[in-house]
Amino acid sequence: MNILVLSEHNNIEIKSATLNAITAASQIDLNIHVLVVGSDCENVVNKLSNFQSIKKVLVVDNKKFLNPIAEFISPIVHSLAKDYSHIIAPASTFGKNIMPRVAALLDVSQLSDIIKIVSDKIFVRPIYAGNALATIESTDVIKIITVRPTSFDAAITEGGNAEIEKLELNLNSNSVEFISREENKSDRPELGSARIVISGGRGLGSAENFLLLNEIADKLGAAVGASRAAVDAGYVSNDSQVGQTGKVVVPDLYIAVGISGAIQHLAGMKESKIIVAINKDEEAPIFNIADYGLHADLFEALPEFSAELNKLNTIQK
Amino acid sequence: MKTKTKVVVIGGGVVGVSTLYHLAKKGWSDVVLIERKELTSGSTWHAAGLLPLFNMSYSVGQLHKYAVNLYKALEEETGQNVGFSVVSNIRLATTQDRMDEYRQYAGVAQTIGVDVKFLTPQEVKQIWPLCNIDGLVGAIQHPEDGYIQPADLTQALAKGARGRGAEIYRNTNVVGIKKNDDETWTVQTDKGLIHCEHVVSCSGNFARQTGKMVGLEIPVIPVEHQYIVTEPHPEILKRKEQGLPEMGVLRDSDSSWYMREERGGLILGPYEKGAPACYVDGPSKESEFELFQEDLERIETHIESAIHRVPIFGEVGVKKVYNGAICYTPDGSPIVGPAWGLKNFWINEGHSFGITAAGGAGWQLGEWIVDGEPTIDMMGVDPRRFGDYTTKSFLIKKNEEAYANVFSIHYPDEEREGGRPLRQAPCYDRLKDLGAVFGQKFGWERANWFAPKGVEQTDDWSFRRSKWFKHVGNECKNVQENVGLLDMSAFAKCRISGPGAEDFLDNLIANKLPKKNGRVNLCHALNTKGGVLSEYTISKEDDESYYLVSAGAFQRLDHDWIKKWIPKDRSVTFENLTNSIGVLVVAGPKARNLMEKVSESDFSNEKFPWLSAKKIDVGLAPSIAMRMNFVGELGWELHHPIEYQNHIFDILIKAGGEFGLKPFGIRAMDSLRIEKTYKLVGTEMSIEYSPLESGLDRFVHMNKGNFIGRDALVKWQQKGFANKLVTLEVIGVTDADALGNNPVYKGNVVVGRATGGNYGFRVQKSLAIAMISPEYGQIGKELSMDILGKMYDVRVIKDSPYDSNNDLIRA
Amino acid sequence: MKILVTVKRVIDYNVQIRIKADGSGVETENVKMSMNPPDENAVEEALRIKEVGKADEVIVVSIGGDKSRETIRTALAMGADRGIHVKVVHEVEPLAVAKILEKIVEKENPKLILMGKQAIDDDCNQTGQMLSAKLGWSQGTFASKIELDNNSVLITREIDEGLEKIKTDLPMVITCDLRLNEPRYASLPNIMKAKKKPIDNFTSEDLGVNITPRIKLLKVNEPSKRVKGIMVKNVAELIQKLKYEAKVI
Repeated sequence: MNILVLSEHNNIEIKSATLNAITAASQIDLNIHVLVVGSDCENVVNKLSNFQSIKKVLVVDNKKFLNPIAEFISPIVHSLAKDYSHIIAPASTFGKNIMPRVAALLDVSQLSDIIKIVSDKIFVRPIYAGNALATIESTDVIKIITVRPTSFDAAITEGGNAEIEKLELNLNSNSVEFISREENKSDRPELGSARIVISGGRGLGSAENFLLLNEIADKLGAAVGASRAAVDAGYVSNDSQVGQTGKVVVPDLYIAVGISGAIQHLAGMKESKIIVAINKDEEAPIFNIADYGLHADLFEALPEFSAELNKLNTIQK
Repeated sequence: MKTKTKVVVIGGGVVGVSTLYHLAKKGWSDVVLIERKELTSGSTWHAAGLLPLFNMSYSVGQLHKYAVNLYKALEEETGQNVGFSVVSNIRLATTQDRMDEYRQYAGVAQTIGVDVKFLTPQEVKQIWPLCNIDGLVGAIQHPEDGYIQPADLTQALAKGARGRGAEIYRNTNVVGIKKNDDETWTVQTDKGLIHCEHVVSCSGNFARQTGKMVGLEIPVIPVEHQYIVTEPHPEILKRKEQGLPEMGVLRDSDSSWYMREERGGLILGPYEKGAPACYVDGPSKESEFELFQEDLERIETHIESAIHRVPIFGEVGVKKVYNGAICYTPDGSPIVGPAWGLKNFWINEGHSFGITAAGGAGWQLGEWIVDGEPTIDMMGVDPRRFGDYTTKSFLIKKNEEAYANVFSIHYPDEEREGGRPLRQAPCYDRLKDLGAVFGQKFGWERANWFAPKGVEQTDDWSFRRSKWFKHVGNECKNVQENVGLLDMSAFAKCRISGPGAEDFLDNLIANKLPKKNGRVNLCHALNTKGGVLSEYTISKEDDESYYLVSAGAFQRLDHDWIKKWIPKDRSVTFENLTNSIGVLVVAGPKARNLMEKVSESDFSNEKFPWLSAKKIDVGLAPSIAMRMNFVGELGWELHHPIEYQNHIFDILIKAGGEFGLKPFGIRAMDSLRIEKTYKLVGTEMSIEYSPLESGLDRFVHMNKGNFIGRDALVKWQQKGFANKLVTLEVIGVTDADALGNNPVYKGNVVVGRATGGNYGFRVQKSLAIAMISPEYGQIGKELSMDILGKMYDVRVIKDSPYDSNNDLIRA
Repeated sequence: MKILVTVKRVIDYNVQIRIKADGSGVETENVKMSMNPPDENAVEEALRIKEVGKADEVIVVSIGGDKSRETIRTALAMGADRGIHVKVVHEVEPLAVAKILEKIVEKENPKLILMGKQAIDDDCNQTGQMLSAKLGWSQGTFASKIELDNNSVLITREIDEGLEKIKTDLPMVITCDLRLNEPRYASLPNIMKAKKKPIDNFTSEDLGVNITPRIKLLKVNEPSKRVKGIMVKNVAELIQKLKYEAKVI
């Protein structure tokens, strides 16, 4: 069996979710090729070729692919598909955007957001916001799969020496123009892969108050997340949203501040190793899944938390 | 979690938490509540939160009043806001019958101190400018009520309970309840066992499942209720901006819906025909905060009516439709009180107005558990007011009917059709052929009145004299002049026997027992606080055997009381005879003639005096004849093995022709008994009145030795009685007699209330029986009384205005 | 131009789902159902486009059992013009849905298709993309803003890193995010009137689409439960526990 992994990158760095997708691929078969579609993306290609688990890196390098446009990338994947039994991408917005097009072009079904590989045909994926797990078997000849990054370890980035093959492919007729991207840059770790996440809900009350979380996040080396309610209210941008229609995170420590614990939010964080909840409503559902619950007013608890961290002064990164 | 406590309350809705709160408030801090999921997660959370003070019943009305006052004070007490919007409540009327209902209610309100105003349609418009007053004839307003946030209320009560030491265990399931030999309980949960003295079932939609754990068939099955929540409307937002008050809860009773403001929009809650029962076998194990699929088609007429009445309702979008379970019982009132057959097991279930009722029910149940008795007459909500005829299929039918009738006019003579005919005495068909128009009591079909040939055999309900008044009058006249036949098979009957029977009964009742075999006494069982619980006729069969008869409606109640007091040493045996003995009453001056014709026995006054009982044959059938009746004429009650009923009936009818024997019904009986100032449990007699206030002096022997309630009665007498039972003549009545609950005035001051009333066909006066302040109780005293909003002069007259010397009954 | 909007009937988002005892799926009997929330956003957006005059008809399609018609009625009550119900007797995968919709598109010839970005039951997030590929159209997924200018569309998409803007031409498929708009509530008169709006009925056979699933559902089970935690009294205790007990900081 040959497996093709579609890598997500920004032409300079490989996105971490790709590493998890590669690990997932390696659980199916060791014959893994990676496809890089980009512009001036040698750095990414070279890095990937060093990965222990990758046998070949296919490259399509053209200015046209500076930004990942689904209509441009999917025909490329489609044209390569016949050589592969499985085509895998991370279930990031990148993967979710592109892979279903590939599946449709191949006239096969897609297995989205899988969290476990049972065999080359049998997988487990969450449904109903992760409140149920479905074990499914694909009967298609080619399996199009997106993988939940947090369910798989990152692939080892060394020890490999993959063949690099450049492809000249220019297929597509859709006229789609990339206009702009607004990314929220921060020194903090990426929400999707952070070891510690501190998240705020509507209880924070304002964008200004959200800054209280930033302070603690900095001390902990944590990423900052949010509930949908907080994003809807404009306290923080959408890329911080954790939940069923936002990001799924599995940090070692998830601190939910002023978040009541609606099903939709839980979907995005309930697999966290340790969950802490701080809420002034002692009946809030979040306390049902918290390992440590603190019934307190967050406006008193947060400054105290910050002060106690100062005292500790030793934080394992 | 505790393993031992005084009381375990099962169920964390507003009802359970209120119960816990009240127990703790009475000083019992060692009490716990067990909730299977989260507090309010059954029905409380989705309740619309309305707090109607309105209730036609004197006792339930008091429970509602207590609750409204409690909720107002809760925030201060617990620091937890309950979101009580005291916006007032307006009930609209589009018919005169509805206005009569409101007028009758206003009388009740007066007697319990609830403030209610009558409004003209124009006044409605002033308070509810967005209401279209087309077709309205009037309205009433309760300034003091409004709505509340159910979850916040529950949390406040929980806080109040916890603050006094009570504990609440959430996410804990009761899996079994075991009765221990020492009459304590062991509650089995999925987190361990709890040993306790009392268990209170407040499990809402799980009522029947909880009941099954202890072998009880609890008569509760929920029904689906929907309400629509709209988005804000600019008109209402404008009112808010202008600082105008919220318009208040609006109830279009005749169209069967309620409406109130909600966050700038509106809520509409209809009570439609056709809402199905739900959770018939209980909710699922995982059920929590569950709602059903909405069905707007089913409530389309109500929606259209609401849009007609409040046009802006049709202009805004529907934000959400809640369709959730509400618990119901066959008559729509909750069941609050002791379980039958089990000591220290209490029931607080079947609440369809749970948010309001929780306060009062918790209060009285708290007293009942801690002090041993409630202070309010809880007959209207006692769990024992239903019998074992409430099968699951019966409940589905009846509870759906109760739901559909929430807003129907509650006529005093209303008889609902659902599930009928159910229990029938053998003579049912014969009575029907004679023109009987039936009602039911405790599941038994009973003839209310008889339609003569040519008159439609259908009922006519009203707060005033209606179609049947004339016919009932004729029945009464026939009893007075000839002889009447009444089926009272529904009477509750039992035999108490054994070597300990005499002592047991002597302790049970305030009167002396009959000394001789074949003698009958009228006796009363008091509760431990000295109020009257039951009335029995007790006849002595022999030294170790007594036959007790009481009102059919109280079979379960009366018999449960008896059985709970029966000593464990097996010296007393209880035998229920209700279903095996039929009762036919013959009464009237020609009753003796009739009896002599159908039976060989000696019915002379010497040989068969008043209040005696004898074995006789009627035709070929054996029977016990008891010389007593409830209508004040010469007469006998024939208590016979029920399989002989039709034989006896046919013989009486055949023989009675020459004496003018005609059947009569319950409505005639009520008129006849009022003329004799005969009292009924639940009206003239109740736990709120000592027997001495109810005029039962002859039947109370304080010095005979101890009996249940005696000491309390002595203390009560020393403190002084607040009431006196009197008979009133009502002057100038043309179309409406007193129904009961009518306030009695001296000038402008309420000095009492009527307990019952009727037109006395034999004395040709409109009468009422009333409980009033003793200082106004002298014969001749002139007072006034309200009947349906009109004031009448009344005069205190001698009791038993018909044949006050009792010559006729002793003839 | 015509806008086609797809709506799916799913278990209401507030409901705690229950897994059938035999593990064959999630219990849907006697459970409250509603329109998939992102589909509400799709319907709303279509109506707004029509209200500013950029479209003249909004057609709403649903694929499912008979009760899907209720979901269509909800969209009609919001203001959609007519509905199409494609009845299927078993669950359908996104691929089959895309193929059915392809046939509907052939019949109706819409220039714009609006769909919710994912259904909250299967959480697949595939159908819009698949349909777009089958039709050879452009796609705008996870849209949080749509600006239509004649034939050209500027879409703002919510992606992991933040927001992305792309521009393309009609015809296209757009999948909608919850932040796209605030769906309107239908008034009761509109809900009543919606009963009279037409709904065309088809089956997948009528349309010549093979909906045999490619994916077999082997079993459904609950995720493993978390062990119950504890309440701490104050922040100091919390920090102590996190450092010395859980060892995560």
